[in-house]
Amino acid sequence: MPEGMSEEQHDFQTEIAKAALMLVRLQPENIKDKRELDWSHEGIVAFSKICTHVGCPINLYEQQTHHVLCPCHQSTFDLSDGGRVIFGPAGHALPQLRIRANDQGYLEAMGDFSEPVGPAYWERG
Amino acid sequence: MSTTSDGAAQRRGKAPAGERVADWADGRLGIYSLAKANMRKIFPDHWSFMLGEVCLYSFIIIILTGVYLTLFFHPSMAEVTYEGPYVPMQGVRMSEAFQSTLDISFEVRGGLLIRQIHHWAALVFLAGMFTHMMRVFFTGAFRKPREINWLFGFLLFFLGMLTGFTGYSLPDDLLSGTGLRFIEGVFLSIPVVGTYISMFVFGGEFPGTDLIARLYPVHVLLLPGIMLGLLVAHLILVFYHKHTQYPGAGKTEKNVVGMPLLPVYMAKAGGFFFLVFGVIAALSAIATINPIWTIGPYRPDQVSTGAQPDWYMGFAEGLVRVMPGWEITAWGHTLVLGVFIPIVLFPLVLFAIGLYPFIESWITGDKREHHILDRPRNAPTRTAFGVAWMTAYFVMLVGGGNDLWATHFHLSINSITWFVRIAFFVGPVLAFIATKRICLGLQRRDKDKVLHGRETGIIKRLPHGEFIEVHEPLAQEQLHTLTQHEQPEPYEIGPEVDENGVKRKIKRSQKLRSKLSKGYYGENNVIPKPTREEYHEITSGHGHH
Repeated sequence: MPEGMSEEQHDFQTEIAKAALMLVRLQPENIKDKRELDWSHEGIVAFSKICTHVGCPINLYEQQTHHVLCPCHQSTFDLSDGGRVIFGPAGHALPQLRIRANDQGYLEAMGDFSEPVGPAYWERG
Repeated sequence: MSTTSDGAAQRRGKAPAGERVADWADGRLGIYSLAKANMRKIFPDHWSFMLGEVCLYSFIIIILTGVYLTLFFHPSMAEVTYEGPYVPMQGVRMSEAFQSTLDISFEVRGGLLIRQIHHWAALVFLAGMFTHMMRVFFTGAFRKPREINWLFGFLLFFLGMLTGFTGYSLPDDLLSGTGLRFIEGVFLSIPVVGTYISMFVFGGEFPGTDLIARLYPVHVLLLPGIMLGLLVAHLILVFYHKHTQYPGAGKTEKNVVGMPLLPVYMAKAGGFFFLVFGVIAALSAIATINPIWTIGPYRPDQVSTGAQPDWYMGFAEGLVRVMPGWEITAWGHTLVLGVFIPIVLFPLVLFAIGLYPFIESWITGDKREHHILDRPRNAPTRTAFGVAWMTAYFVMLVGGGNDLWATHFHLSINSITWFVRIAFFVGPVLAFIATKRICLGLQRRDKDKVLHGRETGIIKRLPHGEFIEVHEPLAQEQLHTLTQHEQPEPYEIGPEVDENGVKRKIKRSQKLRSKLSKGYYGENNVIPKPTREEYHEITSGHGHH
């Protein structure tokens, strides 16, 4: 959870609707996308959990194939290849969050997502 | 003499209490003339006419149970921590809407049963409307003078879907919240104004804190209010037009053959109401529906597998699931076709059947009133269109449940999705062709039965050794039913040049109409029914078998 965020705060639902995250550990040599590798830490990658189709939280991860499937409309993303859409109605890849390990060994985000998370919309560009 | 007239006067003076009450009411409401005009109103009888009744009764059940639920439901998204009697949810944060739904399920007397009846009745209501609509469609009951009433019915079906959706969204559980998130995605996909609409509806960013409170009046007041109005209008028109009847001996366009409203029809209808109520109540007592206590409260970062809308949204769901994810980004804007196209297709496909009566009457040019129903086989093109439409609808229901098909039948979700994508286009065409052939085949069989009689299954051996099957001529009533239908000529544009050889102006719409009309009544689309002469020739000849 982002720093300072708690279930009790009044806009928790609205925040978690955007900030929800998937953390997955891959073998670094399995990561096909160069930027994905750069933004990962020892094979640990962080992707937005909010489906780019219509915003369901994606949660069916298949460890062997690194595919993740959205249970709502079955969009399938390849987490070893930049979160690319490989099947289903989603229109673009899952946004990745750049992470690293800090001095104490905790994973931390190096800033916000570089693009809007969730479904596409007119002004997204 | 005088004693009798005295007796009569006495009887008049002391009318029975019931009669006096009736007199009192008649003086104020005019019930005698109303009753005189309507008590003997005739309703034809057929099992398929009960489909509409199922809708009416389930609607009444929904309203009755819905009123009860409003007494206990709190349409609020304010966050609370559950401390009620259901142990697995204790200490869980949830909205007041969800908490009050838990309370209805576990603490309110009869609450769970009423909730389940409300939900089951809604499913039955929509299923009833769908089948009722199909009955009306396939029998041509929508023809003049009933086009407006068809539209009212269609709107009831459409609004019923919306009311159902807003209803199952109210408990603010994980499943319904997921449905609302989908609605956000739908709004966002609308070009130019999508984000504004989404912000307006949700009162800011999704999910916000306003939505449940907004859905509530829409679900309990606005939509049901409109539906009640449409329903009353629908029934008034049924009364006013009089009910249609299936063809048969003694039935004409100018009479109605059946049972009077009172007592027969009222008794049947009243009994049927309790049957419908009983079946729905039994269903609700036996089969759990929407167990929100196992689904849990909504959190935008959680979801469960097998997420399905109620069945009537399955068609829309299918469109959304199988659409390829097309997104066009240009000049700093994104066109989200992958979501927008299905959402436009959804009402378009539905309205294709909704507006069909007007299209058919334009094609056929038939402006007469029809009170005798068509036998579906005698309108092959319409029947084929209806079956094609239903095929598209059911293919998309499969699409909407593609995950369940995959897990239940151990199929690949990708192949199911591809199957649906192709079948949505190919299926209706195949269904159209097959249905039309079957209809024409049935017409041929009717013709054969009229001319050669019914196959009795009795094999007779003739003196010279030949075996024949004995055919029995049909009764006069059956002959009537099989031959009463009209077979109009297709619409012709007429000669392309007038008497002076000058080329006439022919509108493109006329050409289209003529072509479509041939598709309805043209040579290969109708089996000419047996004529009187043919019948006499065959039946008067000797030794027919």
